[in-house]
Amino acid sequence: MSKGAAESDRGTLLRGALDLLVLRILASGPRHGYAISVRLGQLSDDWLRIDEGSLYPCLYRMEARGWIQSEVSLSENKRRARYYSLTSRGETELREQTDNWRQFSKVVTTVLREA
Amino acid sequence: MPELVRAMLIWWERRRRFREEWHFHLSRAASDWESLGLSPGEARRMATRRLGSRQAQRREALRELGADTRGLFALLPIRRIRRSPWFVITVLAALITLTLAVNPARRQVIRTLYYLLPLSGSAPAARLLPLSRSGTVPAGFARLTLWAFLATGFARIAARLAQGGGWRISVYALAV
Repeated sequence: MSKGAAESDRGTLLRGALDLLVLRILASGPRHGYAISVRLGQLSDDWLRIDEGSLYPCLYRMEARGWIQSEVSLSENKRRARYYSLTSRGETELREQTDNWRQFSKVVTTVLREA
Repeated sequence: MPELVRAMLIWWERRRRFREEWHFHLSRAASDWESLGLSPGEARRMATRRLGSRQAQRREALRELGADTRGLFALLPIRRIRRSPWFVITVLAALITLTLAVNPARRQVIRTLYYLLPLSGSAPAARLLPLSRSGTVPAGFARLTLWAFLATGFARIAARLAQGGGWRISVYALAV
């Protein structure tokens, strides 16, 4: 498999779990879009990498669903930036999605091991 | 009319929000790449590449924000507007005027106008529209139509205010 195809596959995997990962990152405190993408890269050692721009549709969708909220504030370099934070609905959603993901991961691992 | 203006302002604000966030992301990413030793040009290119296809992301983001065309229609008080007898006329006039203003060089617009106007041939239409030799609408005329459109809009707001709040408010609105 070529390097580009492998990255594309990882991108597809990440898109499926992007909501969950962003919710988890925001659970540790408010961040702006760029900080979220940097943290995502750090935690996954850049293994999970998608076009950073696709983070924004995800953020807007979650905000419309009431899972996160945003407010404009000054960033660390004194520029206006929009910071996202988790709402109580988002916390509930994070718990549910985490449970679902663990269950899914367990089932897939079992099938891979025993089939 | 105020509802219409409010809807447009909300829509415009959503688009501005996306633009601001996109630029912020790009400039932060570029400065991070620069701090790793890349030249400003290379850093900018790298940041843009990591951000991905602008068109595709923009379309999706604007849709999620409700800042695309569908979002605008969702914001507009369509039901109330549609009850007005002036609805169709206003929409047609606005579309023609804005298309001319935004795309002054499109011959297709002129051709479409020939069909829309109650004229038999292109010669009378050409006399009505100040076309250039190449058959396009000059930029000056396009600008004029846009300003006329805006002025009509302000005049209508002022007239509505005058009905409800007295002539002083209408004079104030026109002055603003």
